[in-house]
Amino acid sequence: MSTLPQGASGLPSLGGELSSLAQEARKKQLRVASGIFIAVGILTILANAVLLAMFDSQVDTLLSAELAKQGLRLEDTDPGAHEKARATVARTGYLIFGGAIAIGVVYLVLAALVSRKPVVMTVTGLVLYIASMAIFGLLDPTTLLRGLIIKLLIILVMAKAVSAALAYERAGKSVTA
Amino acid sequence: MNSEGAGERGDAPDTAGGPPDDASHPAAPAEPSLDPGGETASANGAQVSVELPATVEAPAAIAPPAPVECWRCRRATRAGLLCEWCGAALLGAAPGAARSVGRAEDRGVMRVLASYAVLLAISAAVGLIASATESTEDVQSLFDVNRATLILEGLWLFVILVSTRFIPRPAAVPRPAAALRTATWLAALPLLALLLAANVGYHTLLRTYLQAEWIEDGLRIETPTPVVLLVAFLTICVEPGVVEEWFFRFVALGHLRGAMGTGGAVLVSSIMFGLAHIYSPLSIPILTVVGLGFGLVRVATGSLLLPMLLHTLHNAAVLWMELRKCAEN
Repeated sequence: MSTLPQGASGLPSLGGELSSLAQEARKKQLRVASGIFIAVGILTILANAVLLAMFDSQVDTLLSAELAKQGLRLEDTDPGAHEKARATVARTGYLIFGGAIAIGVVYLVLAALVSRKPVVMTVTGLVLYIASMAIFGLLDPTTLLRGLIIKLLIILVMAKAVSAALAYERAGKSVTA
Repeated sequence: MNSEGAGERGDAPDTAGGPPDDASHPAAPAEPSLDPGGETASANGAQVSVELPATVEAPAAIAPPAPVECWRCRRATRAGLLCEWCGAALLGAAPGAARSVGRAEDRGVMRVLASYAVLLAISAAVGLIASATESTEDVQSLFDVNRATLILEGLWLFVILVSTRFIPRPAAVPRPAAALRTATWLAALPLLALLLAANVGYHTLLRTYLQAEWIEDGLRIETPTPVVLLVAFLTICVEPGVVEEWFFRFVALGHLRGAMGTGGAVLVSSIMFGLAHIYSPLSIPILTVVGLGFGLVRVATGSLLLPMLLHTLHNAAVLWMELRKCAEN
């Protein structure tokens, strides 16, 4: 600070200045959270769109692997039952990847609304991120370890954003009260 | 405030028991102006140092304290140290106290989120162990779906009980008008039927789209003896009905309400509830809707009893349908 605030004693305006500086810092944290939401959203949409596009060609490989696990070959199975199983696996994949793309879109919506409803959006973003990590970890355990450090950093930044959003809204309320 | 404070005030002129109010006696030069905090004041030209407590209570006989709104339960209560309804410290008037109250609420929200992350981690771990052991038949008999459910619910109960030591008690949801409470109780069964219909309809649509008889690994009861059925009822209906409602509709909703308002809290706690069912990911959308219903009931009745009953009955109905499917197959 190069100049001190003007005032009879200087203290009240200094307090106001400090409080607005704190709000600015929280706003910055929320902007970071918004950036994270956008990045996570776009990456989720792109990655799952690619997986969705490639999935149809992988269904047969997945089915053969499942049959091999049970000690069977493709030729041993009933063609009708195989076709039905193939349709079920393919559609389940479409639902899962489609759902993941929808989650990516939700992140973009959260990013757009984070300045309007900071606490709701940051808490929802954090909950969604942790839960989707757990869900995709359950579906494919290798995803849990992939990029683990980056994932933990994202969780840390989101948790800080929640904390900043709580303080930001509280300070906003005390100003309007 | 206390006898020592009164003794010190003995130096001050008697103001008929009324509160010292400098603003109401601006032209009283003969009296020392009382300056809380031990500041020096001028009296007849002499510097007099008077130490007083920061706040002086008004005697109730002269000026009965106006009721104030409790920051925690939002009910009108007599001004004092504690809220007469929920026992919260009524220190909200002081800015510093308000800030610390706000920080305590923030801590509550952060701890709810941390507990939720632990619950999800447990679900993922149990799910992974269950699916890893499913491929080998000899282990499957030891750790089948029903055992996994039992273990998962037991661990959830343990974590939620432990978390009660670390998460502060949330603010009470304000009790709504009696008419709304009665109407909600009367509408409870139709609402449950609606939620069940939505659940069954959603899963029927899903089955039709996926061309599958079973959506997910549900209940597998080969020999439904009374003991097995009782254990299934306790672990699938009663325990989740009580424990999950307690965590999502009391702890989570209570803390989130203080941070984001009732509407936002109901919505976010429902999303948390739906996403907590990670072992059946395709059911998450409908479970979020069901959670929304339970959350609205919680707010509309101001009590946990009805959401707990509805959750237990909902799960019991699902259990009954699954048993019928088991019997048919």
